Amino acid sequence: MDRRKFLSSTSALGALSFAGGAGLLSALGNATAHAADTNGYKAIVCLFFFGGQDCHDTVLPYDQVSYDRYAAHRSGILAEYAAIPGGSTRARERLLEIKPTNGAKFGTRKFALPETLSPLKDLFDAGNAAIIGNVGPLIEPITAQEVASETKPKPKLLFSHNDQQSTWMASAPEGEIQGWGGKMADAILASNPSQQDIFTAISTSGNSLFLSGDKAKSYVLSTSGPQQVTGLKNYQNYLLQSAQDNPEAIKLLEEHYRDVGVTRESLLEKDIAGVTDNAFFANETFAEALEAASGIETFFPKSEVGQQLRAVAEAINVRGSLNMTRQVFFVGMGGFDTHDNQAESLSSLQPSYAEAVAAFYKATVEMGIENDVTLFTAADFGRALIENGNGTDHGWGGHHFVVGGSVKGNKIYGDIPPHDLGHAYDAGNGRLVPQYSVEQYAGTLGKWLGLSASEISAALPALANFQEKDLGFMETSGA
Amino acid sequence: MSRLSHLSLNAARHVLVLCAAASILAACGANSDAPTPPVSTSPLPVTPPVTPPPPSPPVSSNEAFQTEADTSRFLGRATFGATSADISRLTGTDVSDWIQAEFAKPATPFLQPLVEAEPDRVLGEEIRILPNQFYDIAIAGDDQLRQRMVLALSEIIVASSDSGIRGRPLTMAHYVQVLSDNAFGNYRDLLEEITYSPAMAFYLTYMTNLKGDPVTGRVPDENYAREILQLFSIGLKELNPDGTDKLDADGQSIEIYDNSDIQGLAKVFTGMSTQGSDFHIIYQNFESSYAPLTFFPKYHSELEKKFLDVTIPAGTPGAESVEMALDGIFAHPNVGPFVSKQLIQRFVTSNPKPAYVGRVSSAFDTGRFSLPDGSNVGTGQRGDLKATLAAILLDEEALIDPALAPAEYGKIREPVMRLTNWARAFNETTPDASDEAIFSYLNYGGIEQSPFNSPSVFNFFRPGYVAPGTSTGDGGYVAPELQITNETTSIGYINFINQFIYDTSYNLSEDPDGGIKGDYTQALALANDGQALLDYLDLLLTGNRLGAEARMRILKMMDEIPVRAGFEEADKTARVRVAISMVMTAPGYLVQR
Repeated sequence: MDRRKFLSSTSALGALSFAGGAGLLSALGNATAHAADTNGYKAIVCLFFFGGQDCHDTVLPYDQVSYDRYAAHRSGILAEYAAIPGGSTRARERLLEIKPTNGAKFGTRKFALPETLSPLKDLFDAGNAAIIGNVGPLIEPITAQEVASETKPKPKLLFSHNDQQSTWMASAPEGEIQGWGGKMADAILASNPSQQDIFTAISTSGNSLFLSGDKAKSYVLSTSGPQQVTGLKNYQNYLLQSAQDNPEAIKLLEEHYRDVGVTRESLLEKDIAGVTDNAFFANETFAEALEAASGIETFFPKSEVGQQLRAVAEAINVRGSLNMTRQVFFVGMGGFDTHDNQAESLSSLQPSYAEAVAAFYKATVEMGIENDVTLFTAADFGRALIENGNGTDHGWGGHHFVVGGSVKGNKIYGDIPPHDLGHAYDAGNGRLVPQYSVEQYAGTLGKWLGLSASEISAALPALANFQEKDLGFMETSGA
Repeated sequence: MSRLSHLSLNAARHVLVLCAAASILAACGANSDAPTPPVSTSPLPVTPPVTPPPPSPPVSSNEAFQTEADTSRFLGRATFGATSADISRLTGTDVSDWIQAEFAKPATPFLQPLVEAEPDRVLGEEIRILPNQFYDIAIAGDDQLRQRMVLALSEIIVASSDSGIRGRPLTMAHYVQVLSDNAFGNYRDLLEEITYSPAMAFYLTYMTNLKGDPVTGRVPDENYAREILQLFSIGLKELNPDGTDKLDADGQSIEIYDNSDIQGLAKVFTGMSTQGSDFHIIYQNFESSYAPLTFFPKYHSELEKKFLDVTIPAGTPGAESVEMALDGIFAHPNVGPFVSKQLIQRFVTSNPKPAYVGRVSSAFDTGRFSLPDGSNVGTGQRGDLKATLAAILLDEEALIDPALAPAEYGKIREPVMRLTNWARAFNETTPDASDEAIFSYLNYGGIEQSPFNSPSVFNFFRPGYVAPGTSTGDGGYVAPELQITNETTSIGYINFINQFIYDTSYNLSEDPDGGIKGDYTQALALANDGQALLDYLDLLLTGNRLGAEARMRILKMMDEIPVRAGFEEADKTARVRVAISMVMTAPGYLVQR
């Protein structure tokens, strides 16, 4: 199907299709019976830590015995934390102990979050955040011993940034073109033809493989709002110069920029023209919706991630006028490849995202939809426990956060393997062999989003290799 | 698990022996005219694992500069943009002369002017200073092919000011100078100079990287070990000489190494720091921030270093370890196709046919290429970049008649080059990018690309990027530049280029002639005649690739902007600006075919 033509035809309907609302568009849609529940509103927001956040420096051991083992392995990095003005946020006495309601399963082992994640700790304590331990790409369940003996398949190109980013987002290395967020968006669109595909999947962090499906594609939103051509249909049409009052000229320039009605043989010409045409339509529509809405009062930090999450909150805020019932968002943050200066880096990265996530949660409360929006974290990989001086190297599994009113919070799901070597899930140097696959993590979110079991299977084929399809960290929808 | 072929195994061992011997006298292969001993000198019997690709076919000299359109298209690929003067001067001449002349031109210095500038000024402008200086050189510099290669290399061997180096422009300028010095040199030498560059050591975190400590369990940083293999030399999977994946008996591609290789190689890059007396204190003086790194033996791993099929014996000192490691990496047969394919993607087309990659990697491996006039370029050493570049630019696939080219042919012009195309087309000979406020914006003026400011070591876009939901993606083709093309940047680019075209960009100096300005004299002289103006712009900016639809719309637009008596200058200026904006936003321009 030619997406450009589809979009051109919808944009040709112009304001009418929006003024007319769902009725007209659903009349156009060829509605077939699909299972996805698209009642009410729900959204999932992926917060991706590019570079691979160090899991061992995110969820820390708190009981003395475990802490001492960790400290022995991390003497270099701990020394650097101690050298930071204000003292070490990793000193045991300063760690913020968490008391998960299912903590008994860990016996004498206790856990803590660092001060740098204090806003997330508050969300956890209040039951609005959970920790999912040791998640990562897997083909099927596997132990460290089976990895070493090569008796079971493991994901391709482990430890490679770009390939593991792709594998997290799309279950295969670089070159894959559909991610599970996009496939979930496809299922939603199939069940709800009245929903505009363009705003179903929104990225504030560039083109996103995660959001790309068959029909769904990431709409890339700038933190400074939807971009429009300056000097065309604004600023006195100055691009037309002496023809600025000539409606024919204005129309002609827009048609040219959008390459309207041209059949192109060059694939690249077709693709680049398609993006621009899409941009004109989508940005204008989105800008109109934003203009008509009353803003969000919640204060967001000025950080890049804070502004991205603000843009997501603003997009959610106009879900009604855009006629959205289900949305998938992608937010990205770089800087986590802490081979060097990890103490310094995480001391600024962690507060930055923790504060932004807390603001985002608060904004969902302000909008009255805190139970309808779930944010979850992802990353290339976790990192090795063994340090390389003042940093850490690439790992495999890692620990992640899920935040929202529908999260069964104040719990740790799965395992936090010991901050030590030689355990059953140590692939060497404390690189964790994941115990939960990305598919299990994703499937749990998909189910909450309203997808049927068959739609989840279609989005996550490898889920079939795992018994536990729902990790249980989401309140199942009553609908 | 290592799967080096028999050929490279032998070659690597041979090289190790030679270098170990040579190291007593001098660093083997470093910065000299006698680089790595070529594979062909190996006295050991070798069995090539595969049939070598066919030699490069002869190229008729007339194909590159046969018509004015050919010349414009060729200059669009090989330089930062065609000029009317170059199109007239070169059409009908032999491209051999042009390419030999480019190889012979002196390089525009990059580092030295910054060293000589006031340090305060250099530090004050931080990350803007490098792209600004580069824009000026790309627009007005005479050594176009060399600088074009610098940008291409900076997108393969990536270090970036968008990192902890941002406050050290001289360190990054040294890296750019290394790219420039070696742009027409040998890839093996380039890898070595990059390895010793403080910018790369800072960027990929092997600056002051410590040897392992058995007591604390500390291990060497693996960052550079991984990326020099994955991104700068051989990639992840075994390749055929034509750049396609080698497949195993099950039809699966073959991963070349695993984490144990990375750990082995990581030991090589330990004990390096900036020049000075103290390993732990980097940049002890001004000069050390732009000088090659040095080894501090105390901190260099004395253990055996094993990776791929290379074994560096225990106790080998740092510089010798680097020599042996780089020789071992460089001996891998992947280097030719891996580097050649990416360079083709930077200059000519995103999806070269395997045979094209094979011909270029043959030039890379033999170090020689025959120009149309019969003269040879290249030293005959494997890794020769003159031979490689000439093979890329003069291949039959590069010079294919665009009307006959397959649908996937060509590449999207990089956003930064669209600006240089405009500035060169309109005769900006005294650019001052530092005066343009637009380059100080975080998004680099809306195009999300700025030379030497990649967001990560994976460049602004990946050579293997497949764009979801597109016709290239559906066809299984890559489209690297589409990775930074989206709803924000596509409109961002229109606004970016229009600020230059319409002269609405803000000059920090408030000097109306400052910044980057176009001279439209030639265009204005044609502006009474819409058709003539259009023909001039189409030839200059696209090599007559604009396409019928865009041409029709531009002509129609000229009719909507009549040149009225009494308003001639204003109306002609309007025509010129609108026409340029329409050309430079047309798919026929945005895609180089």
